Amino acid sequence: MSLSKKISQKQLLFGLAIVLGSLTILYFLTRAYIVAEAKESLYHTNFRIEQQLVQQKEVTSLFPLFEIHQVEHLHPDTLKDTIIFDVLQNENELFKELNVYKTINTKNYHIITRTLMVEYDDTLLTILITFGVIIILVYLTQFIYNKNLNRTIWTPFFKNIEILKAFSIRSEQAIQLEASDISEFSELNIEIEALTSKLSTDYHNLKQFTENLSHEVQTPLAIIQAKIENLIDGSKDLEQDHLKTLYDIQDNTKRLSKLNKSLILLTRIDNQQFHDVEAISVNTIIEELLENLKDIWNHKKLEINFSSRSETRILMDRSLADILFSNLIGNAIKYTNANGNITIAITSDSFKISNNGDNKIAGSDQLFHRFYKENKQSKSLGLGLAIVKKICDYYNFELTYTYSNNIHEFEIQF
Amino acid sequence: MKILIVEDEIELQQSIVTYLQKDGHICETASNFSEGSYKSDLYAYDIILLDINLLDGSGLDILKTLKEEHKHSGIIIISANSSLEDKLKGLDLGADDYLTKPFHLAELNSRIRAVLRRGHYEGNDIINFNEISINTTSRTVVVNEVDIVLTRKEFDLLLFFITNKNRVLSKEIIAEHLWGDHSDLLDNFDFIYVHINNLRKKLTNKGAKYIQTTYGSGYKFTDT
Repeated sequence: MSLSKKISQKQLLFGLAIVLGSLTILYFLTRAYIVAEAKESLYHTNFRIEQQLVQQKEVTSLFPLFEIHQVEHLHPDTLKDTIIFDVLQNENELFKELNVYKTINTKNYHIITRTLMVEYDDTLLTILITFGVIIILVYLTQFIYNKNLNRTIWTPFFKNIEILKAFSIRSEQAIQLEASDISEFSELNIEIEALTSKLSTDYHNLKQFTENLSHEVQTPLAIIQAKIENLIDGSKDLEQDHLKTLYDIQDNTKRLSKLNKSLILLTRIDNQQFHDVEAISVNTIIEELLENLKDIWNHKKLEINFSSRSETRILMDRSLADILFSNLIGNAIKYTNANGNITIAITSDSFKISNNGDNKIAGSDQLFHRFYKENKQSKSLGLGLAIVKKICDYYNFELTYTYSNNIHEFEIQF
Repeated sequence: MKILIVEDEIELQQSIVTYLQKDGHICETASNFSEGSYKSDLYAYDIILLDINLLDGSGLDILKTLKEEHKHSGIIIISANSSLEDKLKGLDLGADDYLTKPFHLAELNSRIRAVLRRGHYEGNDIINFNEISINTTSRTVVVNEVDIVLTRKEFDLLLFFITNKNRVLSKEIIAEHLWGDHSDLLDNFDFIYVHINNLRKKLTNKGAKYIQTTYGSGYKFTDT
């Protein structure tokens, strides 16, 4: 629920409660006042009649407004409501009735005074309605005014939310928020601007650091590699096991260097440093790769079927295209058992490579994660498919992996 | 041959010198940009190995100056930066080759030889080693005046062996030279073994027994 809607809703409910409450209070107060007035008026009339009687003047009854009776005994005074049939209106009417028993000039009198309550009720109703209408009008005006005011006041806030939504950490530009003269909002803006600028700085520093580190690592690796090579080269005096150790060091230096190069590549894709786009012929890349690797797959006695309907061209960076297809085809060659089959098929908007394999990949959901290895003993870096995924994401290609009927299949939708 | 090595990492620079001197090259060194510019400007070298990221300047500027002055040195860039743009930039400026750190010295050596063969010494596309004669342009091999037929990779392998003769080459270095980044597709190096054996058989059949197996997992091409 939006802020303004929530406020309006609360305001409406609260307003309704206030209107009902104040009308109830008003009703009882007005009523009590009217009854008090009626009582006062009855006593007043009664007093006049008594005065007339004291002066021994003739007072005739006027039903139903007042009646004077001579009685034997006196009773206590009462004030009560009573219903009397009014001939004039031809209906029952509510009256307030005062009964006073009094001895005047040695005679006992019963004096009844009445007043019609209907007009009082009408007055009450009129007051209530008038008051209700005024309250509702005032309230509604206030409500509409508030709503418009809210809209104006919150406008910069909502605009800023949109700006924040569009914010990207990769962006070189600092975030530009809509200014506001409300102190809470401008405080929020200051905090957001500080936060995002720190975020950007940290992100760019980290990016820079990763890049620098990877490049710096290459030089010591080069030195280690060169020294070992010189050592092996002058190895007439070296023991066999020393030589073996040197080869192992050389091997692992190479792994480290490959790992480092892969990480540099991933970072460079992350940092969007590939801008050169050309129309790459997928057919040519695949044909060249297969030719180049022919000795290897022939040695494993693999059968590779490559089919394409027509020439498929996609727009991307050449080096990334090389890496993309060489990783996928390389993977298939590496993980297919000897005498196995690899099928490569391309259409105008897709690339599919499948190979037979008896075992399902256990962690197929992590297949594209960095450093995921199906077999911990494997010397593979676990970065090949992560790089494939990264390249596909970079160009918005859809990459899927499926396994069915003992066939592993990778598909790219361009 | 006279080689200038412009590299500010002294240890790497010295390792390169040690390796190349064994082949009888005369190696001179420059440890920073100004020394590199000075030496390359003043003397003539057959090959200049050029590091791009020098503390006081870029090796690419030395390259530019050399090309402006029409010097005929072969130039190989050695850089820690593996990005394609840098490589293309270097080659566009007229470098003959581009090698990314870390590299194998045997690989560097074979690149130096290739650059020397290409262009700078015309007509020098024939390499002779005793009874073996290799034509690097037509990619043919003659042993005792008899042609032998080699596959593409066998030819590359023989060339690599001869340019690094008398040196111990591990299977890894050979695999990387022949298949580059794809060399890790080989689960084990049996494959290299098979390849080397095939080449060895073809050569031995014609009387050229030069490929020796050394301790560990290395090979050496030698006539001693």
